[in-house]
Amino acid sequence: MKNIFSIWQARKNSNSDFEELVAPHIDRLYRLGYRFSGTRHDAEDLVQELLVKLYPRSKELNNIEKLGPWLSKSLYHLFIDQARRVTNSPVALAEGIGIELEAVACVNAGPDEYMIRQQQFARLENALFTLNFDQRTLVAMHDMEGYTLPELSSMLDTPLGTLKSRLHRARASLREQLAEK
Amino acid sequence: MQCAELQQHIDDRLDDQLSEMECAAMDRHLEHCADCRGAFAEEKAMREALMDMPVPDASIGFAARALRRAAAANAVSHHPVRNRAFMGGFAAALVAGIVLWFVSGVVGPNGELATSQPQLAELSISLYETRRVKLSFNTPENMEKVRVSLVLPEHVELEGYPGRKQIAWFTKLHKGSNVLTLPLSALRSDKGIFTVKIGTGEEQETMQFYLNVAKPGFSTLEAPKSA
Repeated sequence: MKNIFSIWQARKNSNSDFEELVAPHIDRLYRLGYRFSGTRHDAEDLVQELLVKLYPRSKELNNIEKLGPWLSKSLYHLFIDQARRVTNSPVALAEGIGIELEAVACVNAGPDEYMIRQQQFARLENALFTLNFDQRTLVAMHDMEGYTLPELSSMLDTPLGTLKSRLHRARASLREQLAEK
Repeated sequence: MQCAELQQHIDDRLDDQLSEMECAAMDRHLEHCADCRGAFAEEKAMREALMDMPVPDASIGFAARALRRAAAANAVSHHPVRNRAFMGGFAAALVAGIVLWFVSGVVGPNGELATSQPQLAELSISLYETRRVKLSFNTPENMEKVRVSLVLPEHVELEGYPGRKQIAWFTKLHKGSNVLTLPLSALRSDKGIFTVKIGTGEEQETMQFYLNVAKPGFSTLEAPKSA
């Protein structure tokens, strides 16, 4: 085991290429991770795991023309994989998928307006987490993070019409959930 | 344009998927139909609320820390391991390296990994606080039916499994990094050994760590021992 830790130290300075490529995208990935998972911890974990997986592929990343969308697509697939694994793991079930509306500064709002907005966001967030993984991630990417349908079609290798139908169904479910609450 | 047709195309309109002519037809209908105006306004408000939903900032230093951890994790998993415990059979096939971290950080103030060499790793958690410990297993290939078992010390339990000190299950490992999240809660101040075994059939790897219930905000990571 001693070797492992000495290697850890020896490689400490060999990651500059990877950093240069990926660092500008981490904030966006974190946002997307948060939209998918709903908590800061889970979003950070998701991004962390993605970076661990991609680190050995620096050369390949260097040749990707639009790295931002490619990374978002990778994060999406990682989230879906993890979510499906969590569903099959007795340990993961103990943790569950948290719904956590974290405190966020709200500028230009008085206390009453702030409370109302927080309540609206909480309702919406709860409704979002009743959607299945595919629906939620699609709404997150399109309606919350502003990816366009053509971008998503390319990122997810899914025909535009299929995406439109899925989004339509996801929003209908969302509306139903909001109407019930 | 009729009401039913209009309401079918609200999504398209808000997604900029309608032609100018279709938008104009929709606007003409909206001018004199209160029901459709209501439906359109409601959908638009929902979209705006979704777009406005806040995202809290990542924890301070997250990006730099995540990059450092990615490099550290791969320095382990992509180097041939010479330790005898990892040679041959399942051990060689399964775990080239084991990375362990807390969600909220086990690294030093500058993000460095602790590298001192005691007999066992020591993980500190706070009393009554759930701490998510992560174990990462790196495998060079997909593996079916891998048995994972946990033996917890008396003073710690796995969230959702009150009173259970031994928990085992079968799972698949995917090629590359597999992360196991363990939400651990401390029941009292104490120190004990936490054992994780992972393997197929008779071949298995054992990792052991001290779990120390410490004052809030204090945590350490030191080298795990492979048996």
